[in-house]
Amino acid sequence: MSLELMAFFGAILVTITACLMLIIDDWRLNVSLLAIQYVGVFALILQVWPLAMSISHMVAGWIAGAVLGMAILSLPQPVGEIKDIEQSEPSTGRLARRLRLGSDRAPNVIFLLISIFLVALAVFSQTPRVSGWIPGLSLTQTWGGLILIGIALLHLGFYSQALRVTIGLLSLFSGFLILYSAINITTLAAALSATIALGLALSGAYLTLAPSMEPG
Amino acid sequence: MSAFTLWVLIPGVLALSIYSLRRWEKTIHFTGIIFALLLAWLAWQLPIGEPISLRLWSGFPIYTIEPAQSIYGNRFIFNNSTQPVIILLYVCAAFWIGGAIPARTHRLFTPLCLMITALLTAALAADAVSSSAMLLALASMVSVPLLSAPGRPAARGVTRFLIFQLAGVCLILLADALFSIATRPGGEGQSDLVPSILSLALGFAMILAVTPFHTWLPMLAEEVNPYPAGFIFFLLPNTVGLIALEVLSRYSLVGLPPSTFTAVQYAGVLMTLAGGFGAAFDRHLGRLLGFAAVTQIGMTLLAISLNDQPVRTTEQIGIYFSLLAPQAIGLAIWSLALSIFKHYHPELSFSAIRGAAYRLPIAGLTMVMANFSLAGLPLLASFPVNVALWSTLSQRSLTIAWLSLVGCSGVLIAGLRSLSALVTSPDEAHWHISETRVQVVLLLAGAGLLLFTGLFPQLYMPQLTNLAIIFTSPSP
Repeated sequence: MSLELMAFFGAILVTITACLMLIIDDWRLNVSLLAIQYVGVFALILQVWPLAMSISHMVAGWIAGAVLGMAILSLPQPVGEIKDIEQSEPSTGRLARRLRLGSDRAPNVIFLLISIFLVALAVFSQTPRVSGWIPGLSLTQTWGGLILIGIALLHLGFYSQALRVTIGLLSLFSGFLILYSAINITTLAAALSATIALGLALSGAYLTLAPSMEPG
Repeated sequence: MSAFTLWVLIPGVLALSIYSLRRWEKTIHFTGIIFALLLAWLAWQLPIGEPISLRLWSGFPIYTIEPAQSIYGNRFIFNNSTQPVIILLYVCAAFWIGGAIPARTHRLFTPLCLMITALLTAALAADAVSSSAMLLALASMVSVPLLSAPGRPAARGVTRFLIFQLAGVCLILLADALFSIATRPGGEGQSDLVPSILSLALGFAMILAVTPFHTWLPMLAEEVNPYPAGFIFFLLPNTVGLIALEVLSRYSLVGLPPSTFTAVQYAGVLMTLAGGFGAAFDRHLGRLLGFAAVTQIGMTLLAISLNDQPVRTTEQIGIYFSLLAPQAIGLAIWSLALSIFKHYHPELSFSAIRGAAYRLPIAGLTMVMANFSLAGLPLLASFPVNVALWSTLSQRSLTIAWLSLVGCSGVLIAGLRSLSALVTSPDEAHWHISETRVQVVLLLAGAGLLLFTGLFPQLYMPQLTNLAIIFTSPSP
């Protein structure tokens, strides 16, 4: 498969995963989508970065997802609460009700879809211009980077839970990294970007687990 | 041994090591203080890049501290002009760790404090702006456990802090990339600089909490222990200010217009006003600290804007460095006193702390003194530096000087309102000292320091100005 075709599929992958992560309320699906999103990011930065550096970012993203998942699993949950969630009515969407993060104030799906549409419209109109600013950055890479930034900003604006914020920040950073990768091809940049992804995941995991930790 | 190893790697490793000693809280704190002071002393005494003969015994080898360290192709350069900043950073870390026990911070405070200082030192020494920005992002992530104590719900201010820091870093990375493209040989020149300037300005505005991105400061001060919040309010913006100064000087040489410094000046005055108005009308002691920090960042930006030459050195840079000492003392004393209040009154609204000064008189006195000091009241620490700043500003723009004075007046009004709330007791009350001995000693020492530095500015201002001159001079 040529690199251009990979980038095209990568752009589609990051667009779909970013949109789904904004809408879906199930933490397991969100973490899985984050891992898939990093495959898309890998395909996009592979256009300019060497394979080893691109893989390191993808693996860091996967580890970040695993850290977040383990943090949620480590949360002490009262038995009764789990039972309530599992036995909830399927009419409101069994999958969404099961193990949801309790974001009762999450915006309506229609509203989210309209927001995504508006962001996509803005990104579509600005992609050629931004692509012109950075030589070596293809249209697919620019689209992928900007759509990730746009939807991550929606994520950060709509939700305040630690896990949601962390996922939003990881997407935001990946979006900027796609744009930035065309310029900076140093190993330190790759190492620091992987460290930031892991650091974000650890911060998110800490914020999730802090209330249940021993004080002091 | 390289300077990078001495002032970044060793404190980083030590921070990780003393985490394992967290059962012995006092041991951790004393180790942290001694180590931070030792690093500051070494930065003061050891010349970088020159042979050092320790002569511990005959034949003892001659050491040289290597100024540059290359890591994965990027260089971290420490030279004699970086030393003043290293001294300031580690003295500040020692100063804050010193008050950690009476402030009842959690056990991770000291290792995290050292780790943040090491990361910020590395960010200052990084040759590439992109590396500095990424290290700043790492420092803000390490700040998360410092601000959010274990066993307590995650504060919304902490997540907002993280969002603004990371978004700011991303924008600086983009600006750096765009700058490097625009200044390539054969580029189109000035017209290409507009997106990079906008991105850079927005990035620094987010990290430095420039209005309207300042909301996390009062939120953080309201929700978390004020002491670690005070540490972050002081150390992060001032280090970012130094990096911004470096970046502005560097980009000025490749076409950044001088009007950028005017924009910095407007941002500074906007922050001073926003912080002042916020403080004047708020009714929560924690949020007042946050708004005062906004005002102080505004004053810092105003001081930076005085250095409006494309080359690095102007005489006015001394004012920026002189601001650091009174700010550090004021914020540390205020946040320490506030953390003592928070221990007795978890809700710090004016209605909840009514008459609290009768129970905590020393904390009340020093808190109000620190508040007045940061507002620039005569005889207190910030007054001489603020006067120097206002008089220099007035030579350039009288309006800007007046507006920043109005902003500081807001902090003064907040101090008067706090004083009124603290001494107005609904019932008949009697004075009673509830603070511990250590708290009393530290608070009184802080109050004495506020008075001393205000009365005798000639004892520290020339030294800080000299440090500024060394920092801004090209390295030998």
